Amino acid sequence: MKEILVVDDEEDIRLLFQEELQEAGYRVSLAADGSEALRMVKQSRPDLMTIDIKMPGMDGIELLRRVREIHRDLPIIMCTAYGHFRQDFGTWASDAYLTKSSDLMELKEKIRELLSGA
Amino acid sequence: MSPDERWPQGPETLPVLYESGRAFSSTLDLDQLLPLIPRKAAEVLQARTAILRLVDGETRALRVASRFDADGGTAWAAVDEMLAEVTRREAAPVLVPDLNRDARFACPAGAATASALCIPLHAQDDVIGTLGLYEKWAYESAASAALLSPFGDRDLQALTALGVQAAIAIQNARLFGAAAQQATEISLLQEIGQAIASRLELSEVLEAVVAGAMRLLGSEMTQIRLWDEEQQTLRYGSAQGSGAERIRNQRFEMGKGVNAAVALTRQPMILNEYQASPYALPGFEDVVATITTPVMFGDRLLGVLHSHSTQPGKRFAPADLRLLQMLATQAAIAIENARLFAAAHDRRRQLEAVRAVTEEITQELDVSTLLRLITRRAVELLRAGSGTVWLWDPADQALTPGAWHGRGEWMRGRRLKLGEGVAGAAAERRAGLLVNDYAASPHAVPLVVEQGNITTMLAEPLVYRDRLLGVIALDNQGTERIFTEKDRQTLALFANQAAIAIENARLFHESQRLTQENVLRLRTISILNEIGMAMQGTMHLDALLHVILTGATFGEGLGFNRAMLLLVDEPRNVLEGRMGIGPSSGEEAAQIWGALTSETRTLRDVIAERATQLGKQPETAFDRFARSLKIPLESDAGVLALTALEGRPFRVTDARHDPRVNPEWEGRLDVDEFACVPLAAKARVVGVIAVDNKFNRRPITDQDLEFLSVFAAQAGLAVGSAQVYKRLEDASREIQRSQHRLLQQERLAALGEMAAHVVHEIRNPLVSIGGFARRLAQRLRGREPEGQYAQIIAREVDRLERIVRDVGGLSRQVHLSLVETDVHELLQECLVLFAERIAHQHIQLRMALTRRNPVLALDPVQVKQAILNLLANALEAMPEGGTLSIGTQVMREEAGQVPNQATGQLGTGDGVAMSPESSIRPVDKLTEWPRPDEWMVISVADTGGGIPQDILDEVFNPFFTTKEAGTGLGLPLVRRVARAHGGRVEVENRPGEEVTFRLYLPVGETGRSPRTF
Repeated sequence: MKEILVVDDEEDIRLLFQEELQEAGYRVSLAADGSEALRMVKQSRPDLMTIDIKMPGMDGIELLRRVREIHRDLPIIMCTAYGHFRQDFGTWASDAYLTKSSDLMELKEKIRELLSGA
Repeated sequence: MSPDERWPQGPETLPVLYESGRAFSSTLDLDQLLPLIPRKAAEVLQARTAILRLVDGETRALRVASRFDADGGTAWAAVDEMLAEVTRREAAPVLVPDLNRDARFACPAGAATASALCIPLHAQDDVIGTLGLYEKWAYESAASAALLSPFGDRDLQALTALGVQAAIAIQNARLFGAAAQQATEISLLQEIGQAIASRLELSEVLEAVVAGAMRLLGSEMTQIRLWDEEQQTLRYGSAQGSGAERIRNQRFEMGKGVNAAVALTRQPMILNEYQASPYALPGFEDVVATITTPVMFGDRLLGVLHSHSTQPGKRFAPADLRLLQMLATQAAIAIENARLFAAAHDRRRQLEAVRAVTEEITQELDVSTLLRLITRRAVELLRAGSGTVWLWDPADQALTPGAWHGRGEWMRGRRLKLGEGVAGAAAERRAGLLVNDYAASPHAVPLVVEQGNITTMLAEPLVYRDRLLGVIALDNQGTERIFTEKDRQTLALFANQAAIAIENARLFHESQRLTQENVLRLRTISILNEIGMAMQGTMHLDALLHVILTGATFGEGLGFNRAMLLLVDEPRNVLEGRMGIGPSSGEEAAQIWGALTSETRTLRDVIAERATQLGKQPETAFDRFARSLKIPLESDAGVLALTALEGRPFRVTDARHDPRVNPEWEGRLDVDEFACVPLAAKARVVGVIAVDNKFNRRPITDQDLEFLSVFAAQAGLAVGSAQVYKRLEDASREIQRSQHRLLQQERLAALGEMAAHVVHEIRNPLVSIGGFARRLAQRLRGREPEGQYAQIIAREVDRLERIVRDVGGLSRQVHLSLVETDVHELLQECLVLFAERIAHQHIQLRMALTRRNPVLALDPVQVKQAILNLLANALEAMPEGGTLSIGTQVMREEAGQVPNQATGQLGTGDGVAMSPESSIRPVDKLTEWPRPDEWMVISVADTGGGIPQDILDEVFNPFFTTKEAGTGLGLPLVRRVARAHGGRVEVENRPGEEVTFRLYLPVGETGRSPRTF
């Protein structure tokens, strides 16, 4: 079973993602901020990460950069409520970039694609 | 009382002396005295007969002067003739006691005794006559007459005494008679002289001279002939008396006759034996005597005065000659006077003619008419065949013909240098010149010689105050008339006046020209002033152009029929027609001018009136024509372009054939003549004014052009400042607009920031709400109504998310992140999201994708959003099913392949792409894109009935929506994304059937790095 690490500072979102992805057949672990996520990634490598961009403390882009230092080829999907973070060069290091939606079909499609293609 | 009673013894000497002295002194009249002498002698000496003889002054013969016969007899005449001769010879008395006994005398028969006594009459030592007495009566017996006694000594003494008295008396009477004669002659001469002197006409003078001579001489015929010095002959002057007609008709020959002789010798001549003289002429056989004298004035022979007599025995005496000579002297003076008078009279007549002509010519002020008049009058005045007035051109140093009379066209263009020809010679020497044998003269000009038989030529310089104006030259052909020195003088007199007249006319012309110039300047100034005043009222360019064109066309202004104004458009490098004023047709012109002249309005009125009508007047064809002109500023683009390029006026007089005229532009003015002047502001040409006189065809003069140029210079400055003003105005409006926009943008930016903030804050909760609602809905599927509630929540959250997303997209500027993206994959991703709905609505899906490389640089998030919006709209339009057609196409930007030109029903593009030209290059201020070579066209079509035509224009406006649930932000966002990529959106609409949206994205160069953006 593939393990997905969901990083989001909002608990409700973490819960929604956890339930939906578990239902879709993944093992889901959660991190509420960047430093927690980094710690977890250092301990064990997940199969895929979703990172919220806007987070207090270390933001998603900083986290993305740090994770890439540890796991160069770990599939990462950047999720954001904003449409315009794409202009930030930092996000280009991610494998996908999604605007958050209550309909998680697109997210699940992207995860499936990344994990199967890998 | 009888003598015998007083002197019975014979006469006593003293009483006789006394008696006779008293008797003879009683008269001084010789005619009375002469009969008295023999009668007194006979009475005193008692003689029967007394005969007085006097010596003839000329013949010296003793002629009987008078006689006395007591009984009326005539005897003793022959005896007395002899006795008187003896007495004269002896110079002493002769006493014959009885003639019968003296053989010397043949006595009359029957006389008994005949005594005779004859004494000489002495004056000084001369015997002037004799007095003879015959038959002395004896008075012893008075009864017997026969008692005769011889003359005795006493008788001799007494008669001698009487003779002395008689001689004295005769001498006295003769002296007195001579004095009286002289007095008579003098008074007659005086009278004749007065008669002659009172006449001034030569013919009358001659008549009076002849009449005077007749009176002086008492001859039958008198004539006067005049000497012709030139011809050396005597010409008929005047004649009177019998046979005067003969004289008049006489063929006079020099060398024959007495007159010719007198003329040659200049000596008077009396011919008392005319017929015997060598001077007798045939036809004058009746002439007996002639008397002839030359008529001299000083040493100069004037003529001959001649008289003749046909009376047999007539002789002219020296006294006659003296008288005739005195008359001739008077005649000479009178003839000379008459000639002088005639000359003066001629001169006066000439002067009068010159004066009359002068008066006429000085009234003429037109130079060319004047020259013609002068020429004609000079020809008439001097009875010349032809004449020319040459004008001196100081610049050219030559004479050119100003006018000619009686000469042909060959005169035109002739040119004489100083000294060339007669006229040139007269000009050179500044003096008149008379040539009487032209062909042989050194001044002859071959061309003139060729022209005809010109024989005599007269030239006089026209000089005004030492300044040579020209030459007047006259000539005659043939030999009819030769010019004389007098003619030259007359011409000189005339030339003086002509020069003054020419100078006057020139001065007049010059002053008129100056006046006209001043009037023109004044007009220019006043019009410019009017226009200046009109311009003060407005800085509005159109109004100003209107004022300028009104100034150019209004009668009080320049008065052109039509005028149009073009302005230089510098960025586009074209000359653009801005306005045209003028009637479109001849009828309209007549109507307008008729109205104008009947109202007599001033330029200011018209400008003011037209200004109020500006923009309200109906367009004229000429104005439309003017406004349609867009002329490239190239040197081969015609006269209008040339005027602007070279910055100088052009006048075209043969527009239909002038190679500079461009048929596409000024050629369409459809006139022969027009003029263009540049409108210049400082050194910059801002435009061109073109004018013509299409309808009245008045030629455009140099003055017009000059005035128009001055006018255009002024107008150019005004237009220049109006343009500057307009730019200022535009700039200030632009600043206002920018300020407004800035304000709007600031507001929008604030709004956008707030919206972005709200979106962010709302989105996460919405994701949670929606996400969990969906989960609930799944869990509760089948359990009604809870499952349905959850679905409703999920759906509404979905709608909220779209609103938030759209608002978020519009509320900030689009920042593109270009990534090489496969459009087909992008479409696939979008379709996946709608797969369930497509199936649910029974939509038939048609895909038509290009085989060309679908990868291009774009912002996938933005484009995906746009495609999603288009798909959502399409699906919403077909709730009951239909066909969704999705296509991609790579298009090259070429003519014919330009989109949006298919069906006639095509609707609007995205507000830019209506015409093929403008669709090539959409202009977006926010992002300036290079012109692409190729387009990727993504089309989304549905069969949902299309868009009603009336709202088609509005579908791209934000917040416009027809849907109950729509935000009205979908299509605006699509357009915004397209424009941000340098592309566009087009709509192909068939109302009631279907609609196709095409998204045009530029295909950049391959390998273009997105990071460069």
